[in-house]
Amino acid sequence: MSVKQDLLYLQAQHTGVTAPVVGMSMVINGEASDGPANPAEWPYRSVLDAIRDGWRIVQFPNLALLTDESRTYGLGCEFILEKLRD
Amino acid sequence: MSKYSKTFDCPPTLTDTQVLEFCKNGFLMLEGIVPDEINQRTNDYLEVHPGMEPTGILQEDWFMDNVICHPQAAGAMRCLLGKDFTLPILMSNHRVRTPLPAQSWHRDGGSQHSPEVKYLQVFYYPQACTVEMGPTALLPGSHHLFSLSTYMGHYGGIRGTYYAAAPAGSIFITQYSIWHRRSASTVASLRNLLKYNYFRTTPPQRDWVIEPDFDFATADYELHGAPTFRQQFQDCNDAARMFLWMCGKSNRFNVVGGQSWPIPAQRLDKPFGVPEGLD
Repeated sequence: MSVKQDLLYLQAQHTGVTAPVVGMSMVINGEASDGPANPAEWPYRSVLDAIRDGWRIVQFPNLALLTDESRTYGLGCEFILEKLRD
Repeated sequence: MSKYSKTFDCPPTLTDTQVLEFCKNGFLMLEGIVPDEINQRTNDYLEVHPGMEPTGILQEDWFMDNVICHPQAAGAMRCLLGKDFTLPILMSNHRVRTPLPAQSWHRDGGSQHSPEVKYLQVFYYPQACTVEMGPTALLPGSHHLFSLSTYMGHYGGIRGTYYAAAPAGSIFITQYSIWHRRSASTVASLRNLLKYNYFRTTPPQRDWVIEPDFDFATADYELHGAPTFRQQFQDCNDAARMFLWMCGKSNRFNVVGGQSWPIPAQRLDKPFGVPEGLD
């Protein structure tokens, strides 16, 4: 039996796990998804919500991309989380 | 100057506030401005010329007069690019059969991250495009947000996304580097979306429709309705920088910091730090 990885990308307003989520995408059972079009229907409002639902953080925000106050890179504070399924 | 020469001029149509809104959002939607007869004629043309680059349509008088040189669309171009802007010489058609999944977020090839407005990317729907048909999704303010397209591939839903669902005959004008994508579609349709560019040929100056009571000191430079994804008030600084560039005043731009211009607030007096020579 092989273990499969689910992924959850969450972009948050700051580096704390309680920060509101501003962007998301996920891979569930081998299918990529942007999540619901309406942000009000996204499954998690914060990274902490996802942790409470069993997601494990595999990458914290890359501080090298948060370069200075006048220029940031991309959507900013990104957490990557995983779940493993049998 | 003739519309068949490479440059064009016409009366400006946008006000100070509308130009500033473009600087903040990075796009401007003109809903349903092209007559139904022209939309239908365009759709008929695209049935005969279904390729990705139906550039021959730019040699049709009816199309040039009613789409490319439409008074509202060209008038907006006149404001954002100055007089004697160039007319398109290349036409692309994002013609797709839906339903389809969403594209990846991207900035089009050729994007240059800058507050300068030297060229604009314009889109025209010759048919209505509903949310279910997968309209173009735009991220307001993202023309100020640097990222490479190759580093956007994993982004999905983004809070504040604007879906350009619009009636037939709608034209939307974008700062070239804005983040965008075709959104997911859920119904069967054949969607045409024409895309073309205009270029600036003259230095920027404030020669659009001047509002007598427009005040550079108290104007609203803040992006509303969408997160900025950057440090607080950086959206104001970026919009002000771009607006001053368009006014031909980029050398005046300066931000002191703190609670000074151009950040928003209900103050007892004009904000500290307003650059001199803005009028």
